[in-house]
Amino acid sequence: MHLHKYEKIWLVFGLGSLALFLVVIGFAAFWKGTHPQSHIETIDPQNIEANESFKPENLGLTEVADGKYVVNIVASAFNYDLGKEEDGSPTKTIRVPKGSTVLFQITTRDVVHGFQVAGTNVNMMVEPGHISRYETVMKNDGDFTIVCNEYCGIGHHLMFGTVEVY
Amino acid sequence: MSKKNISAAKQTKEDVNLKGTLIMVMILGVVILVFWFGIYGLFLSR
Amino acid sequence: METFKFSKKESRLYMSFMYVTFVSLLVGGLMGLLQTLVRSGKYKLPFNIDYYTILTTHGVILGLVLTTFFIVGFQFSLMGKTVGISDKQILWGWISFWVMLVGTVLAAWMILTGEASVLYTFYTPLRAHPIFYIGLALVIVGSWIAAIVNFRQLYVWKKAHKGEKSPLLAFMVVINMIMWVVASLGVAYSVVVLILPWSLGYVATVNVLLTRTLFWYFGHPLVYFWLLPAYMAWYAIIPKIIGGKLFSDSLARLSFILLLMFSIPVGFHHQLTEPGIDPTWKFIQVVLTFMVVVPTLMTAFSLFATFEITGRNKGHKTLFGWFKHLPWKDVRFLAPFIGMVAFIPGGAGGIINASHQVNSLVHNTIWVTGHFHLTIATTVILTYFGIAYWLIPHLTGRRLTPKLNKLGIIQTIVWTVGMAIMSTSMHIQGLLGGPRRSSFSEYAGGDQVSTWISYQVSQAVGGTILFIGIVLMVYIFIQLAFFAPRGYEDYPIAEEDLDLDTEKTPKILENWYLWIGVTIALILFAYTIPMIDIIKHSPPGSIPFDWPIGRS
Repeated sequence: MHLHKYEKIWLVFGLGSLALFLVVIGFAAFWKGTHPQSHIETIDPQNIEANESFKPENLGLTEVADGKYVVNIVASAFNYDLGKEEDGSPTKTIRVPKGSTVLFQITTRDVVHGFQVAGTNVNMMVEPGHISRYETVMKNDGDFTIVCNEYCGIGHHLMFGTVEVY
Repeated sequence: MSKKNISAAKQTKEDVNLKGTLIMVMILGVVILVFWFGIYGLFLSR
Repeated sequence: METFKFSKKESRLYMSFMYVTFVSLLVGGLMGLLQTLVRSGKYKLPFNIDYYTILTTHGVILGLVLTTFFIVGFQFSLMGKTVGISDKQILWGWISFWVMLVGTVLAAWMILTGEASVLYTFYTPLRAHPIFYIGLALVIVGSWIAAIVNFRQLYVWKKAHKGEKSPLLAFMVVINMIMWVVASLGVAYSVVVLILPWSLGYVATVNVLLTRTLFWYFGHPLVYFWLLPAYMAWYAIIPKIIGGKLFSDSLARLSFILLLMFSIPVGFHHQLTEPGIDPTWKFIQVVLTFMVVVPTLMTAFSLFATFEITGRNKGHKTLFGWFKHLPWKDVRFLAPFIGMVAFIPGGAGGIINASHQVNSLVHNTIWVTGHFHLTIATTVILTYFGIAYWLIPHLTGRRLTPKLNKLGIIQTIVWTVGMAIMSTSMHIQGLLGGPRRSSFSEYAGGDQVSTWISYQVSQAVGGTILFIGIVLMVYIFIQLAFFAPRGYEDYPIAEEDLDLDTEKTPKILENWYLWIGVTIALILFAYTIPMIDIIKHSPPGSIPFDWPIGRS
C-alpha cells in the first residue's frame, strides 16, 4: 500500500496531536489524580439509610476541617434532598466560601439521575446501588445551579438546588 | 506489465501535486488543536 | 454511456425502505421543532402531551428508525448494483423490511400512548411497556436478516468470481454490517435477556450498570453504523459526481477495516462519569477511542486529494483553483460536501467529549446534543439527502430536474443556516452548564438560568428554520418519487484510477477471518475484566419504576 508523502506528513501530525492529548489527560489522571469519578462503592438502593453518610440527619453541608466540607445528598424522583434548615424547611442552597474544598457524596433511592453543579466540573451519574463522589476546590465565586442532567421521569426538569460560593 | 512500467507509474503517483490538500488538512488539524486546548483551559479554570 | 437500471422487483424493495425513511423524517422532525419551541419557554404543548413523549419519539424515530431504514435500503441497492441480488434474496429483503416495520409500529404505538417515555436509551430501572422492548428487538432482528442477505450476496459473487477482489462498495457494506451485528448483539442480549423478563415481572430486579454498559457497547458503534454509509458515498460516489476517480482503493478499504476494529471497544467514553467502572479501564477505552480517529484523518486526506487531483486533471493549475471549480451547483455534491465540513467541528467536539476527565465539563449538557446534531443531523443526514437526490429518481425511473436540483440547493442552505444557529447555541449553552434532555425549567432562577433560556430561544429559531428544511426535503422526495418527469438518473459509482493507483489491492485486506478475529480480540481486551468487575461488584438489583414516566 502506497502513501503519498503529504499523507504521511498529515498522519504523523494527526497521530502526534492525538498522542499529545492523551499525554495531557493521562498525566492529569494518573499523576495528579483527576480521574472522572469512579469509586466502585455499592449500597442497597432500598436501604440507603444503612449507610452513615445518607442517614437523614447527616444530609447537607458539614464542615469537616478548616476550609474542608462534605455535602451528602440523596436524589430521588424528582428531588435533591440537601438536608434541613434550622427551621425544619428543606435546604435548597448550599453556601461555601471561595477556595474551599468540597466533597460531594450522593446516591439515589430510585432511578438513575445526573448530578451536576452547573458551571463547575462537578458532574456525575448517580445510579441505584452506587455511591457517587467528587471532590473539588471551589475556585470561582457565584451562584451555581444544581440540576439533574440525566432523564429520570416527567418531573426531571424540576430537580434543582443552588451552590452559592461567596 | 514489465517492472520498468510499474516504477514509472509509481513516479507519476508521487508526482501528483497535492499541496492544496496538505494545506487544507493542516488547517483542519490546527482547528482540532485550538478547540481541544481551549476546552481543556476551560476545564482547568473551573 | 451504459445505462444501468434495477429490475422493477429490486427497485420496489429499495424504495420501500425510502418511504419509511422520509415519513420518519417528517414525524421526527416535527417532534424536534416542538421540543425547541417548548424549551424556549414561550410555547406549551396542547392536549396534555408530555415533553418527554415528544423527546422519546424524536430520538427513536430519527436515531433508530430513519437511520436503520435508510441504511439497509441504500446498502441493499449498493449490493444489488455491485454484486447482484437473487429472487430468493429479494424475498428475504422483504422479510427484513416487514420485521423492522412491525417492530417500529409496535414501539411507536407504545411511545405515542405514553407507555414508553424512556427516551431512546431506555435506561433501567425506568420501565416501559414490554411491547416497546419487543418492538425494538424486532427492528434489530430485521436488520440482522438484511445483514445475512448482504453477506450471502457477497459470498455468492465471490464464488462466481474466484480470485477477484470484491467490489469496493460491497466490501464496505459487509464491513458495516459485520460491525452492526457484533455491536447489536450486546443490546439485544440486554433487551431480550435482562430487560424484557424484568419488564414482564418474571424477574424481580435488574442490574442497572450492566444494562447501561451493554447499551453503550452498542451505542457507539451505532453512530458509526450511521456514518459508514456516508463514508461509502464520500469515497466511492462523490468522485464520480465531480468527474473524477477513486483516490485509492486500498486506502479506502484499510480505513474501513480500522473503523470496524476500533468503533466497538470504546463504549466507556459514554460512561466516563459512571460511579461503578474502574477509571483505568475507562482510560484504556479512551485510548482506543482516539485510535478510531485515525481512519477519519485518512478519510479527510483522501477526500481533499480526490478533489485536488480531479480539479488539476481538468486543468485548474493554481493552488486552490481545483477547489473553486468544484461543482457547487450540483446538489448531489453540495449537500454531502457541507456534511464533510460539519464533520470538522463535529469531530473536534467528539475528541473533546472522549477526553477522560474533561468529559465532566460537558457530560449530559446540551453541548452533547449540539455535537450530535453536527455529526448525525448534519454530516450524516446531508450526505443521505445527497444520495437521495439521485437514488430516488434512479429507482423510480425519473429525473432530478434542474428545478429540483435548485430546490435541493436551497434546502441544503436552509439546513446549514438552521443547524449553524441551533448547534452553536447548544454548544455554548452546554459549556455554561445547561442540561440536555430537559423540558423548559427556570430551576432556582438567577443569572445562569436566564442565560440558558436566551440560548434556548435561539435554538427555537434554528429549529424552526430546520423544520422548513425538512418540509422542503419531504416535498423534494415526493416529487422525485411520484411527479418528476420520467427519464434516467445515473447511479454514480467511481472507477479506480488505474494510471495513478497502480498498486494491486493487497489480498490481506480481504482476509475476513483476520479482521473479525482482531475485532473480537480488541473487544475481549477492552471489556472482559471491567465486565467481570461490574458483575462481581454488583449491588442489590433494582426493582422496576413505572410512575416516574407517568405510567400507573
